[in-house]
Amino acid sequence: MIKLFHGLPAAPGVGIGHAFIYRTWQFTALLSSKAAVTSPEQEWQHYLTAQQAVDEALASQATHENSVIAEVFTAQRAILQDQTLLHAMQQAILKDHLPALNATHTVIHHLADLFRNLGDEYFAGRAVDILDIGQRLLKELGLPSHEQQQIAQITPGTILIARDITFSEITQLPLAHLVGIALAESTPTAHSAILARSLGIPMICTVGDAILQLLPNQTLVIDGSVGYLLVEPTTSELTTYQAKRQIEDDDRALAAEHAHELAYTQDQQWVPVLANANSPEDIAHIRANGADGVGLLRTEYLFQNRVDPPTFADQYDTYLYLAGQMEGRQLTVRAFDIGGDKPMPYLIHSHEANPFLGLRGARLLLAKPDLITTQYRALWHVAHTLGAAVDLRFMLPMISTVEEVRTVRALLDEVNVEEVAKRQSTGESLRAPMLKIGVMIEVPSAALMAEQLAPLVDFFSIGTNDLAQYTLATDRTNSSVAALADPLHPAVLRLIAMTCQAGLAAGIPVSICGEIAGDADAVPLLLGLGLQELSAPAPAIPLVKEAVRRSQQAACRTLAEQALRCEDAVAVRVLLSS
Amino acid sequence: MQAASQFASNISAQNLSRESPLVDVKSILQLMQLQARYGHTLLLQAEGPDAQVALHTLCSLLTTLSA
Repeated sequence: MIKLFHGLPAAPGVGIGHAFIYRTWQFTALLSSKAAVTSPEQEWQHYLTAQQAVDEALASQATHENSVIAEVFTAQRAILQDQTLLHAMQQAILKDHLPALNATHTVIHHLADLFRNLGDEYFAGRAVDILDIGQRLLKELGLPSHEQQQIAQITPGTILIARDITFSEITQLPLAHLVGIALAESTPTAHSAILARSLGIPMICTVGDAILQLLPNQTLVIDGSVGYLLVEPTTSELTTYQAKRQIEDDDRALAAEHAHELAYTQDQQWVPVLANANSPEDIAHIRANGADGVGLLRTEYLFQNRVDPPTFADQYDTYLYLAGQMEGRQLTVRAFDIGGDKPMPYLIHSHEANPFLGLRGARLLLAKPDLITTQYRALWHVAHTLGAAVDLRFMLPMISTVEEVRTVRALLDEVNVEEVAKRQSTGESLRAPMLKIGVMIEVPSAALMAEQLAPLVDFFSIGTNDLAQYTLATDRTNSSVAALADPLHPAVLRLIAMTCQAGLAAGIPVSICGEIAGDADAVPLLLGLGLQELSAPAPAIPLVKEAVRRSQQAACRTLAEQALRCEDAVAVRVLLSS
Repeated sequence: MQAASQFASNISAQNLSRESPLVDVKSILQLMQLQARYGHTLLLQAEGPDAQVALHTLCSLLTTLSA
């Protein structure tokens, strides 16, 4: 039995409750045997009547006082009335002579599949909206529903477990009874996640199918800030999380109130709290959470599913736009982190038996140097255009040797020389761009060699998710061992401490950008280990800032010394909660 | 989509950055299949009595949105 599940944080907060397994509506299983077909014209009328009824229901919900609910239902109305849907239905009923029920099922299923297969995660996520409309239409056309009886079983203190859930389904639930939602699939950009955030219900997603095997009424703890789901917690774990929830409840109002202020420790040390971002949408939203900048922009997601690599112009436009949004705050851009598990259509990958140990990160960039020089050139131009108006940094992923850093730096220096020469020959005034270059420390060899790496770079950023997986020889996507890859394991903490010491000696800043930076409980430990900047999932930022404000540097250092002497991650967690 | 619907012309679009199909701009379901993101290059085509005005309006709308 798996004890701890890892997912993506979708809505922050801690929830303690009992499991309820919501059986998602099966689109295919419910179709009854061939209904008596009346004339195609009558079936068409049938459909139009159902469509009218659904439209009226959506229209009334589109005036909901919760603006998230109102917006989604307005968008769903537009899909319901769409000509593409209407023509497909007309074709199925009037030409193919399908009964309205079967026609609706076929057309909706086809459309949802089409969307599900879109490469862009955001648009693929809209398949759920289409299914949602289909479900309403089929119900209107007389398909039996089992939802009501499921909903009646949801009692106060429920943690909802499901494969995925449509927006309509979630709005029909007794939301006041829910203390958490964990989904096997879905994404943090899904409408259900947006709603959970607006209602303050902790939620995690992409947890994997194994959670559907949980038993009803099992005690669960969900931590939506870091993406954990803990099954049948021990008494001490329960006490820890109860305390955490209590603090969060007390803090949340306070934290939100002060989210936009800088976070100083008790002894007046400023700690920048930055956000991790994947998309322009993320960057547009970080301001609401009070981020002091972006500590990790994952650029591989910006140019997904193209048939050709992004050009210089594509990248320049995109980075210029994003940097312009930052209002002078830090923007740390990570070079394309592409690997065997994140393939790009324009790169031909040979099959790798072990992609996490294969041609990924900096190794791949060195094999395809055009990728990194074009990206760097685009950033160089942005830095040159914006000058002092932006704090732009460039970060190399998955560095495992000193040689890699030397080689990449030589490539980037060539770009510098070329760009400067171009400007000198045109007599343009030269403003050397302030583009800092750093490396991610996420492979144990890089942490162990941090002293040798530090003089070659302007900053270190520790990626704890990968560092934990490589240090503990644990595939974090394999749910039967993933819990071992705990970034709080003393072995990982020692590597972090080593990296911080090397950074301090060389006079370069060290930041952290793994999920652990979003765990407010871990903040004093991270500061004690010597980290100077924290980059966390955006929703966690207000509470991380509050944790910084409660910290005192000398006490943090004592805590870190104790943690480094612990035997395992559990002991560290006990220490953090004491 | 709303902007396109005010014109009589048939208007279609393709996302050149993604090798998307050619879609009808007046349909939200088709429009979403462009998977258009900031920085992508779109190709717009219009055919009909107000084709010129339609293209002009949509292009300036897209430029404003992305500015």
